[in-house]
Amino acid sequence: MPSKRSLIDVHEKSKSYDWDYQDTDPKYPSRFIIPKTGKDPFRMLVRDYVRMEEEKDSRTYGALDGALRMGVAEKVEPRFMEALKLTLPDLTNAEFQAVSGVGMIARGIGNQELRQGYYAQMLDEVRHTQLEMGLRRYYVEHAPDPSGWDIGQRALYQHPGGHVSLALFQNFNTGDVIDSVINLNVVVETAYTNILLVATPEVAVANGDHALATTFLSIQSDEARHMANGYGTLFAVLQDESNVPLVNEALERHFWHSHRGLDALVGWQAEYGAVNRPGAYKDLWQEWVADDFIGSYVDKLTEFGVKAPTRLAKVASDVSWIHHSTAMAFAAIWPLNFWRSDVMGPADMEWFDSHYPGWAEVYGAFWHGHAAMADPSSGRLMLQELPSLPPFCQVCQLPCIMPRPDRSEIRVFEHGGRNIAVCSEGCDWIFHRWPKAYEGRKSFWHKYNGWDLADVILDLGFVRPDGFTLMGQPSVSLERLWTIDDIRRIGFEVKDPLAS
Amino acid sequence: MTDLVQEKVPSRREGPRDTIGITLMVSADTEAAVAMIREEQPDARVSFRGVTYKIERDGVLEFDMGRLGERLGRPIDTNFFLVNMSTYYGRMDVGDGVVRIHSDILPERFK
Repeated sequence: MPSKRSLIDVHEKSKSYDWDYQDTDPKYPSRFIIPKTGKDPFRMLVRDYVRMEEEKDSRTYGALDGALRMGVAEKVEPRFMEALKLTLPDLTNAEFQAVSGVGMIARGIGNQELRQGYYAQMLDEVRHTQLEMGLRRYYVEHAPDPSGWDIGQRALYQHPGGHVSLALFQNFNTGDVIDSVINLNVVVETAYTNILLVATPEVAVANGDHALATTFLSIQSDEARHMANGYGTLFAVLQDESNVPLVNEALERHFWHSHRGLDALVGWQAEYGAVNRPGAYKDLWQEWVADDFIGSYVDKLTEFGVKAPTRLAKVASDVSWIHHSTAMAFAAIWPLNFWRSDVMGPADMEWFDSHYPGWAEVYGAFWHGHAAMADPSSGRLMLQELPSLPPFCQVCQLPCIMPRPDRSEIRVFEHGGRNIAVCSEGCDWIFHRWPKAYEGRKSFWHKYNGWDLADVILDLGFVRPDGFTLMGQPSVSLERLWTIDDIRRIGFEVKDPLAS
Repeated sequence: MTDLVQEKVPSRREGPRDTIGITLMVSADTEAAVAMIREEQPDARVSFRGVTYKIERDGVLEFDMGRLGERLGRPIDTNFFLVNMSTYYGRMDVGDGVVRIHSDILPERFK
């Protein structure tokens, strides 16, 4: 039953129950002046929060039961579910990093109204990991080919694609608390979760996955409050003019990094994980990020000194290409994947070239080659065709073939006695502005320099229960699967492109 | 910038937008809310997205829980209404029995 008490009155009274932490020293010092004022647009109370989330869980788990009865998992396009084996653990990593991030934020912001919103958010992030694990358990038990689902989280942290996720989401809980808010609540949750959690469900349903759609939409209903937490906090810090340049710098940094990591992976899932594509990813980006986030959110704050990121036009351009380059890279390294990388057939190629004019010229030959080498009898890997392996960007961890392999913007320099590569001017700026945050990461290629590819796969543990059939395959066909013996016969040696 | 850069962020050329929006996942509550908006705020734009409705309008969007409950035939409060909301953009203000999204920096308490 709806409450008869006034929300506004109760919320006002609740703010009088103020308190602080015994140890007020933050984990990381803040450069920002954080006023004690701040407003929560949702006027969230614990009482109401619990009622709301209980209802959401009932609906979502009820829908999963329904999906079980209707055999949804068996009807999902295999290509869609295979790509999910990477992107769903990727999302769970984001939730996990956010749990500790929001705890840090709640402690660092001495305002009871905002804190209540962040406490609810931390519980949300835990809820999201539980929902996602529930969905993954459903896939493990009912997907026609569950291989890879069972080790998803461990595999994520070992795989180059997972390093993209780590590099992006560890910023949620590492560094200045307001920087974390601008990263997590403002850029990732306000701009980018809409593409991930609202637009992707449309793709999911078009490819038969109603279970994922219901789960993601329920998760996003919490994200909407997180956006409000970020908005309330942003407004609080904008009250002090000395914060404005810091806000703009943080926005610049995290908008670029989020574009790199999320446009690459979400765009890949939406188009290369789909057989049926409701629309082009670049159009989703234009609607949710350029129009809704920049036009109706950031541009509205210009009177307070907030500026749209200076690299916005560059992002708008690269968003047409980087997920295609990511797809090519994932397909090229398919033996190292814990999912099957499907071939792109004539219908796919026609769709890509009509929605991204020029696509066939850049990527067409690669996908023809990938299809020709899909059967183990070919005895060939695309990795053998490359002049060298592409370095991974020290900041965003994408392969340095961005935005397109024919127009790579790679920069290589010496730092701390070793060679470092970055994929772009934007990542170059981030690295040199915050070197301590990025210089320590070790490269995947560095770790396996000189190894036979078969031994790398065994070290990663990406083989099926029989001990020799690979989890990763170059197509979703299950007729003739590649084995570790097929790879060893090829004799491909990993060579770190940045080795001195 | 390279020659790949294209000027295709039209909202930025036009300055800040007054458009705000909300996305509701498909449900009985949502169907009633969409019908209410179409009747009460006919200039709102409603688009169906397979599993969601996106409702957009210039200025303000308002959902009154009392009137929504009459359509549903049962009471609904702001918390249960928000269970159906996947996302929004604009300035959210949840009050007693009403959910509003403003284009301007409103309400006054945010200034």
